[in-house]
Amino acid sequence: MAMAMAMAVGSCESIVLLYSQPRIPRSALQIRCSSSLASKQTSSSSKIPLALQDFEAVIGVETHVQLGTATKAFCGCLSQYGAQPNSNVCPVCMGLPGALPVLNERVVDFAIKLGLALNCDLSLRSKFDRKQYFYADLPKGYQISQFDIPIARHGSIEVDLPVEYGGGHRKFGITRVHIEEDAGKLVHAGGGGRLSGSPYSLVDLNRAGVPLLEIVSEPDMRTGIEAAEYAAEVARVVKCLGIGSGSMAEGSLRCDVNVSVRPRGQAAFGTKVEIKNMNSCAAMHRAIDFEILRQVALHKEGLESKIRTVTMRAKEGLADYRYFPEPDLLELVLKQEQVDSINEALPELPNETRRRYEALGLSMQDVLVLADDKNVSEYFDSTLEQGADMKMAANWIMGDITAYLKTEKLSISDVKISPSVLAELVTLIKDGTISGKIGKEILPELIRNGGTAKEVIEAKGLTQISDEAEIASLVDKVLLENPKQLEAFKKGKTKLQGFFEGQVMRSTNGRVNPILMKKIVAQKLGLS
Amino acid sequence: VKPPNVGELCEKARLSLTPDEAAEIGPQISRVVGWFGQLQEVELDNVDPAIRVGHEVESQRGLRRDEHLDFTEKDSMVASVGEKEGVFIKVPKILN
Repeated sequence: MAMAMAMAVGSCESIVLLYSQPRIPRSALQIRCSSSLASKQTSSSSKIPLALQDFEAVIGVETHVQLGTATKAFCGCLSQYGAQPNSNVCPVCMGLPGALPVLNERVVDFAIKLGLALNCDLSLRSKFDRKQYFYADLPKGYQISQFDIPIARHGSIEVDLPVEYGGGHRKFGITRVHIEEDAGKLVHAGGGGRLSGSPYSLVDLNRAGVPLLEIVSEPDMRTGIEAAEYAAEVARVVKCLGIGSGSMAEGSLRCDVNVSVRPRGQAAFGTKVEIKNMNSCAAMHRAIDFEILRQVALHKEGLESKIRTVTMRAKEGLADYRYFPEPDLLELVLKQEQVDSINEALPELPNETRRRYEALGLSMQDVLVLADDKNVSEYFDSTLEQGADMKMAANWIMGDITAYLKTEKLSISDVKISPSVLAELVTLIKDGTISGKIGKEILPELIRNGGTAKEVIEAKGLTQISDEAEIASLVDKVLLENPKQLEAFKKGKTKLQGFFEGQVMRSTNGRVNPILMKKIVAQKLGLS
Repeated sequence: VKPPNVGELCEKARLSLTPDEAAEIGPQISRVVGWFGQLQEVELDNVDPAIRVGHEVESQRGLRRDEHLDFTEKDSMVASVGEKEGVFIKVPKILN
């Protein structure tokens, strides 16, 4: 069953859906398309399920980014994942009487960085407000946040949709970015760890006061994949800027999604449903697409007024947060010089990297893979700087190296093969000194132990045989040792040419230059 | 200015007042709100809106360095928490 809680965002009503697998009566879901919900669309418009063509989904995403500062937002306690519960606490973050918050300057730097990276207008003057409500994980009874004057507004972010979902470039608006603090963690006693039915709860305040940046998007997304890719891009930007670990799985990047549908052409928004607790972009994608279909189905049954009440037990009501300016904190003033110097020092952002790789001539598929992780793109860039052939370097990184990283569960920063050695390897293959096959053979050793390609090749005696006279004698030997096949070839079994090529290759343990060898085999067989 | 809905305010602030106390406090709240309401009469056409008090103090930006500082009495602070279960703070049943 879907679970729901009433939630208010500012002064709007909406329904909250905790992500789970809702059960819908089959009659309500008359999807008349042949492609299943999870099937991959080859073009974004031509395979929209019939159920959706009269309707438009409107999706907005709220993201909370945990910042990777050493200490909390308003006190000197360590901000540390995995510490023993209630060990990183003090009167300020525990909300004890008399304690006063003091803002961490690094939080401001990170906020400026993110605001600039998201093309926002920065408010050189902003303030903090108290968002007041009572909950066991909120020691002060209010959260210090920014209500009406956030630090950044009116930005945008650009994404490239995955090729397997039709590709395409999108630009989504960012309404605002603001600074706030995280709440503590709650564990509910009793079987299942669920809130309802548990006789008491346990609180860990280590997380209370950890700095967050909240990013609110414009409701510009229209499909699950667009929203999922938006979230993925925010994560990439966060990691690229070095302001946080940006991981949905670890909980340092949390996304809540608002989904509503409306008949195409209608200006007014439909009833909004909020989906929370998704821990991956893939989960977001699935949950949103499912929710869109669910709402469309209800509309088609004439049950749109029931979006709130038919499938969920909603407890509606407006939460009044009674915002007022935080009296314990000064106005937040940014100096233009500070903003300018941060702007100048911004690293190349993921979207800029993708445009640069596109301009280099890489396919969109390759661009998306290489530009996904900054460590990988920097590695790739270094390899190119060392003179490697672009396409070959891309293939080696995306293919063999990535495969190795996957099986050994490593990241590209762990490998001992430096970009210059990869460039060396690629160049040796390109100019024929070794075959690609030999390259694959020595790669694991280079990754594990380092060293140069030349060293490993010589140590293993793997230099390519390219001397034509030497190859000729090898071919002669193979033909001599296989009289039956030679006989069969002369009688018309021309396919055996491949057999002879394979035998020569084997006899040299893959070291013979394949192009020259094939040429000479063809010559010796009287074919050229 | 509307008279305060004392019942609603108590609910939001999680305070319990007896009917007598509520009857007494209503007019007091109205008087405080009315006192602030007098500020509406001030002429402000030539005054830039201030976001917060305190921006004039240039020398103090009100920020601290991102450096670890433990509270000196941390152990006794944590020990003085009402109810614990192991290292966790125990709180009563949370109503949905």
